[in-house]
Amino acid sequence: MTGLAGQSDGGDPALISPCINVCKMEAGLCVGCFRTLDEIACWADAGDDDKRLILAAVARRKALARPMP
Amino acid sequence: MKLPESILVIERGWLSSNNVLFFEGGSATLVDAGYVGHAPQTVELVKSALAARRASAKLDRLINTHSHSDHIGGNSALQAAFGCKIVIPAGIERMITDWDTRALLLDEAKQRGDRFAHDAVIEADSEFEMGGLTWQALPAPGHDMEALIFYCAEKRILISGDALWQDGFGIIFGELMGKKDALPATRATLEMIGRLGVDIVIPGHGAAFDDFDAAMDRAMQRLASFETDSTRVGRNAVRACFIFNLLDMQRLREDELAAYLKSVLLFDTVNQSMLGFSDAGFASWLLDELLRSRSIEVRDGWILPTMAP
Repeated sequence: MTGLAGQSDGGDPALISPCINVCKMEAGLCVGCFRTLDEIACWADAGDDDKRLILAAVARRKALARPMP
Repeated sequence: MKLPESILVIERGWLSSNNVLFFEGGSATLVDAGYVGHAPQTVELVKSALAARRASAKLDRLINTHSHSDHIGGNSALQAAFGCKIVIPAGIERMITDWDTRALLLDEAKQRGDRFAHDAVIEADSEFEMGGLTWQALPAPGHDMEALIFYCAEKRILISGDALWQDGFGIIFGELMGKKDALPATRATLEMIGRLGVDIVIPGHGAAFDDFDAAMDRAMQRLASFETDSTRVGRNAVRACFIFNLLDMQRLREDELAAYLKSVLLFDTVNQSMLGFSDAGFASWLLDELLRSRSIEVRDGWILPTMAP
């Protein structure tokens, strides 16, 4: 069990993991962070460029899933 | 920082521990299984990671660093999915065999678990092979008095579980239960880790890191502050364990916080023995602390983790 320290991913501090501890798959995406299994599994090993690509994909999927009212 | 090709760290948030995969030819070993609520995704992640390897590997072994719910929660589901052998530290064998939900802190901390049967144990100070490397299982009492950490001298890699993180270490539960040996054990464990030659740490939570000396300094400072005032161990535990449970529940009514804290033996015990708040005072102290550290927000009468959707 953990403390309250934030997640640190090294590299660019803006590239923090989108995980919100929901961690449940539905239709190929995590319900919490909108990532695919591959994107979650490779996150810890991914470089800054790959993380940026994943975060951009997450933002697109989020916008599609929750259109602004 | 570069980990050997045979090691893959799967890192999510901090409700689930990291899952560390080691590939050894056609087979694989996983260290730690995450929280039970995440188990179906853990199974899918491991499947996907195994399939991504050239010679699609088979999960043969699952090894736990210690007995806590965020490390063993996926054991049962992973065993059912892969038929892997489960290997646990020898010191927790009795509580696992008896499924002692108090010793496992499931009752005490109101956490969930899924019973499993282990196949083998690792003794402290023994050696084993994993990912084509030799690892020593070193006893690391403190956060969990029976915990093991795994050290590869050849590659100078430490799998530290919750004995050492990049910023601190796991809650010292023994101190909360009035066991006077928990803080000295934590010190001895950190000093032992400090004597190992380490280039890379794969912690139980958070990314792998290579600033070992700085992490050791931070851990030692935190420990010294706990030694100066052991009620800090209690305050830290209540904050961290409450957020853990909140992430599991996802939300809690603000007006039910005091009753909730009272209903969880660990929180009530820490308050009674270390903090001495009234029930209402305890709730408002915790709320203030977590709002100040921006770990929660309160919306429409609900307490939400700040990471909530």
